[in-house]
Amino acid sequence: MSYVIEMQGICKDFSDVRVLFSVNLQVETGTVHALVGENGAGKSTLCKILAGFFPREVGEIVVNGQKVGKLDPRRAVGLGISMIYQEPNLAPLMTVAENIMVGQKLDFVINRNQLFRRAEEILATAGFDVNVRLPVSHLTAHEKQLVEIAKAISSDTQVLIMDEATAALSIPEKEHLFAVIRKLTQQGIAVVYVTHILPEVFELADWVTVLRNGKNVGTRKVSEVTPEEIIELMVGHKMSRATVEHCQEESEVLRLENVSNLPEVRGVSLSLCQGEILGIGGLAGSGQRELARVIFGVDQMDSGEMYVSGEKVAFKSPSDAIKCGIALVPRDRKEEGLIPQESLGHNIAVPSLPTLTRHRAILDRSEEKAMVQNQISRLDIVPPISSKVMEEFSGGNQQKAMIAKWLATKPKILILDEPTIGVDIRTREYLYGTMSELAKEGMSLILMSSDLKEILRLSNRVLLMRKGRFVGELPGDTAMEDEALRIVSLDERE
Amino acid sequence: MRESRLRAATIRERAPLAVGMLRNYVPWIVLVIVVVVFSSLDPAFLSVTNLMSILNAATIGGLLAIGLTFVLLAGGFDLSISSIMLVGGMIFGTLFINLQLSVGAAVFLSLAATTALGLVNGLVVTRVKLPPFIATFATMFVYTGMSLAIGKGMAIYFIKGPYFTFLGQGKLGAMPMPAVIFIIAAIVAYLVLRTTPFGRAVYAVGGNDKAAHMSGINVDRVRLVTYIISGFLCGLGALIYTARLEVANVVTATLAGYSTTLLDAIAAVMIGGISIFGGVGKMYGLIGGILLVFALSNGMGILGMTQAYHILAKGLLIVLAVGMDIYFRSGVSLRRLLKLDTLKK
Repeated sequence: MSYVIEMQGICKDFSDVRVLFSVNLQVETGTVHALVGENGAGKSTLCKILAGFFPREVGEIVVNGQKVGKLDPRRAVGLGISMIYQEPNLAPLMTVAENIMVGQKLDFVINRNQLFRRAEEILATAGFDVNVRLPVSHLTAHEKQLVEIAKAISSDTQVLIMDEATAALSIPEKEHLFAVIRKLTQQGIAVVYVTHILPEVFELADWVTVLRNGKNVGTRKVSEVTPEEIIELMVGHKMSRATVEHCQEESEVLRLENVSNLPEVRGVSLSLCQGEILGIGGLAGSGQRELARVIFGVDQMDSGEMYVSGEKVAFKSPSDAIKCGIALVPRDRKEEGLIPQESLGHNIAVPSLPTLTRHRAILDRSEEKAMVQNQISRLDIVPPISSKVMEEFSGGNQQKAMIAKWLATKPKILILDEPTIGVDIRTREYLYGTMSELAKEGMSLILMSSDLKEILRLSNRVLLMRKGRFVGELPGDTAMEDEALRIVSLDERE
Repeated sequence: MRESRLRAATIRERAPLAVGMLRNYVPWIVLVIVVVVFSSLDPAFLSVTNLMSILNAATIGGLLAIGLTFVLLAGGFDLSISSIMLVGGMIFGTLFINLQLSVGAAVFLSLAATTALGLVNGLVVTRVKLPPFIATFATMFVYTGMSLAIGKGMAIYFIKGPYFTFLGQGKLGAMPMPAVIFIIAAIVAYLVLRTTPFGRAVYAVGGNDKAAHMSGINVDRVRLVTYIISGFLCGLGALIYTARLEVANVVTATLAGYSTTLLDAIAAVMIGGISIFGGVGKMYGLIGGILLVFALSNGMGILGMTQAYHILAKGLLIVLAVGMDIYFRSGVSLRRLLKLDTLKK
């Protein structure tokens, strides 16, 4: 048995937070080694360390029996380690051939025909059928993946790392990709395959390593393990079953009926009660973000109906939704949440501006100041200086500011999309406390998260989403985590 | 020991704020230096007459710069300002001289016309979704061509009329009338930006248009209004210019004059600390920038230095000002610099 890669005692910190704890990983030549674990378990980080994108704090990497010191992406490729990302890393306007040959030594003057021929040869040895003269922007997601793989092969790769490779593929494309991967392993290439989807592990992999909270909690031979055992390893305790308790729908504030915004949201129905925290869980990219955008009027629904407090609504823009008492704390602070160069106070006031005026034209600045101070102390934003520029606050305080900004509008319904991503543990606990308080005060909350633990802990009720549909409902109880994980990661095809 | 470390942290927390504020004072600090240097070299620089003539010279470029400031703060750009001014002057001349309209009607209609041209800029940016830099680069040509067409290439109008010339040549006490108009416009702009929801929305849109949209702001409407404001102020500039020279014409010499006005306005805005990336900048910084640009030209003129040195000095100041902007706002790409990104929903 020969290992092409041996990683030993790998540790990794992100700004003083340890995300990998002495992880070992051994990859056998010519096998598919699946890497599974919940969100934030450290799968991608481990892969990026192997591909040289992140430096490691401690630990050894041995490639073909040779210890390697510092790794960078170029050196990793030189050692035969290539990584294929979810988002293809290709130059869209250049041809397939140019993309494949980009890392190769070429003659000083490039002979285009020769270039095309060599690219065709590489594709042919791998058994791909892609026109090398097409610009990459004309290809489908799957074809782009094949080009990436061809690019890796052309640089004599021995280890191919694939992160969530089937996320954007149709079923036949997935079958084709798996066939390609099997063919690569026959040629002696090892594949490290990161996935959320357990059936793929059983379909494809020879070995499976489970990461939990940055630790390797077990490596098993796939032929000797059951899905239940893997879920147990991922979650850390035995599976349990429980009955779903439906909420008392006496005071419904929001109802969706068959709401679609294709392709991400497919016929979603839900009902939200006053003072309830409704969790919407699912793997990243299951449609939670898009659903939140539809409810808030950022995107418009293709079909379906929406009712706020019993009245039918159709929002054309977020300002319509705000008028109906809905607020959305978006996932991406920098892109959609905050205005980095404006002061904390101005950021908090933005959505409340229409209500802060005298005679509909002039801002009531004393009222604004009082409102801002109120929110700063409500959420304990540090430092409590309203004139300080937003981007100078820490991530946790930026997150608080984003919530403060929306609480200032006094919403009836608060939607939080991944509110604790990139937030330190103390702030996270504080936000959890705030959410519970808000619900007790009578606000209705929709919490969207791919962190199933978080969502089960906070919510009264959890709806599970997969590929744009609700596929299960659970009571908010952390003991349900294994069941939730089973629902979102199993039964890939229906 | 522990306490002192805590205090050090507080000072560090506040320090970037102080540095960030500096950008608005830099034009004033440089202005003071310039005034001190020029007045020590030639005392005539500080005479009331000369100071008033600086203010008077600054009015047209200043009005354009105020309009441009609104557009820039909302994340846009406007290269067509001096061309709108050209059209405004020609329309006024046609209405007032050729069509014998009253002063009031001609003033009103030409202001309406330049405001409409601003609206067109806004529509090209928000509806056709051209990047602002390219959209107004195009309309710059369109409007210049339009003014040539109105004037049939070479027509000159002699504008007579006591009420009207007062706009360009009259005085309110020691203060030239154009300077009065400029000061009023600056105060109104200051109040709008500082004390109205619209002003806040302008900063929000320029600072992060996606976040502004997600906060319920109608991003396109805010941008549109900034171009309308710019168009209106260009109209005011055109009227003052026409009243001052008693002529509305489009000959080569004036074309050159107009493009100088454009460059002066852009220079004043950049030196005044209005970020070309949008969302950052203050009116008092801008006023400093405007006065600095024109004080520099005036002072160098008094000292007998040629145009070459004025231009050179302005260029160096822009490098300083924009360099500071980029320094305070790291991670800005050339794409954003050239406004090649439009709002993607």
